[in-house]
Amino acid sequence: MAQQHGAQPQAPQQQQLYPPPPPFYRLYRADADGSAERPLPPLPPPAVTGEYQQFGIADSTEVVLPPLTGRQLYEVKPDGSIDFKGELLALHRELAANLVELLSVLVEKPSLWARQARVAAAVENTSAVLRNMQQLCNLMRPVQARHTLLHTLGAEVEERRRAAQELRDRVAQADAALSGSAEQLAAAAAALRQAAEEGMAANGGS
Amino acid sequence: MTAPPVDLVSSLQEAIGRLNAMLFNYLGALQRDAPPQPVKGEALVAAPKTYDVLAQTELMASDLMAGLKDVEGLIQQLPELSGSEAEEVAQAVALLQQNAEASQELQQELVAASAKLAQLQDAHGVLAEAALRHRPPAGGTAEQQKTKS
Repeated sequence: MAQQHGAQPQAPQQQQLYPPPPPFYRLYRADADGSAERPLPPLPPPAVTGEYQQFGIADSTEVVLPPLTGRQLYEVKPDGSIDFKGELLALHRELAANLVELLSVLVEKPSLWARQARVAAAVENTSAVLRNMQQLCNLMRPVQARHTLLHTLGAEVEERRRAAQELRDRVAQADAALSGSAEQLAAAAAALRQAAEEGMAANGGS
Repeated sequence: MTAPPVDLVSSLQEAIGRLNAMLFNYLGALQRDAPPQPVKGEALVAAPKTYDVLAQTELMASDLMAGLKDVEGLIQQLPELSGSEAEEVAQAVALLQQNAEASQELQQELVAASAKLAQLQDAHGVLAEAALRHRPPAGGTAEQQKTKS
C-alpha cells in the first residue's frame, strides 16, 4: 500500500476509479461580476405552477378541498354560508342515533352481517355522518383563517393607538415638568450667580 | 405523543378521528369477543374465557361516551360564524385602512416625542454645565482657610 501511494504515476487505474465532478460547478465562481470573462451563474429554475409530475404521480399546485364522497347531509344556505355549529350538532345527534341502531341490529341479527341491508345501511349511515362532519371541519378552515386575520388586524390597530397615546402622555408630562420648574430654575440660577459673586469678592478682598 | 392542537377546529378534527378509531376498534372487539348465545335453546359449550368480556365492554362503552361528549363539548365551543365572505373581506379592508391611519399617527407622535427628548436633553446639559461652572472647588476652600489662619 505504501509503495502504491509513493508511486502514483505507476497506478493510473486507481485515479480512474473516481469520476470527475460534473462540469457545471465552473458556472458558479466566487469572483463573478457579470462581465464576459466572469459571467454570473445561471438563475434557478422558476417555481412550478399548475399540473406537475412527481415520481410518476400527477399532482397540482392548486390547493383545492377534496370533494365529499357520498351523500351531503348538511345544508348550504342560498348565500353560500353554512351554519357550522348548528349543522355539526345535528350531525352529532344523528351519529349517536346511528350508533344505537347499529348496535341493536348487531344484537338482534348478528349472523346477517354482510348481507342484511339494515346492517349495511347502518354502517353506511354512520360513515356518511362522520365523513360529513370532517368535510364541515375542512370547510370551516377558510372562515377560521379570515377570523384570525380580522382579530390580528384589530389587535395591531389597538396596539398602535395605545402606543401613540402613551407617547402623547409622556410628552405632556415632560412639558409640565419643564414649565412647572421654570420658576425653580430661575431661583436656582440667581442663587448660583450670587454665590459666584460672593466667592469672587472674597478672593479679590483677601 | 404530539402536543394537543391549540385551535378549536384542529381539536374537533382530532376528536372526530379518535371517535372514528374507537368505533371500528370497539365494534370489531365486540364482534370477536361476544360470548355465544343459544339459537333454539340448546345447551352452550362453554368457551374458554381469557379475560372479563363484561368489564371490557363497560370500559369500551364509557370510552365511547367520553369521546362523544368531547366532540359535543368542542362543537358547543364554536363561535357563531355569521357573516358572509364578502362582509369579512370588507371588514379586513376597513381594518387595514385604520391600521395605516394609526401607523401615521404613531409616526407623528414619535417625531414630536423625539423633538421633546432633544429639548429635555439640551436643558439638562445647560443645567449640568451651569452647576459645574458655579460650584466652588473643594481644594480652593481649604487653601482659603490656610491663608486666613
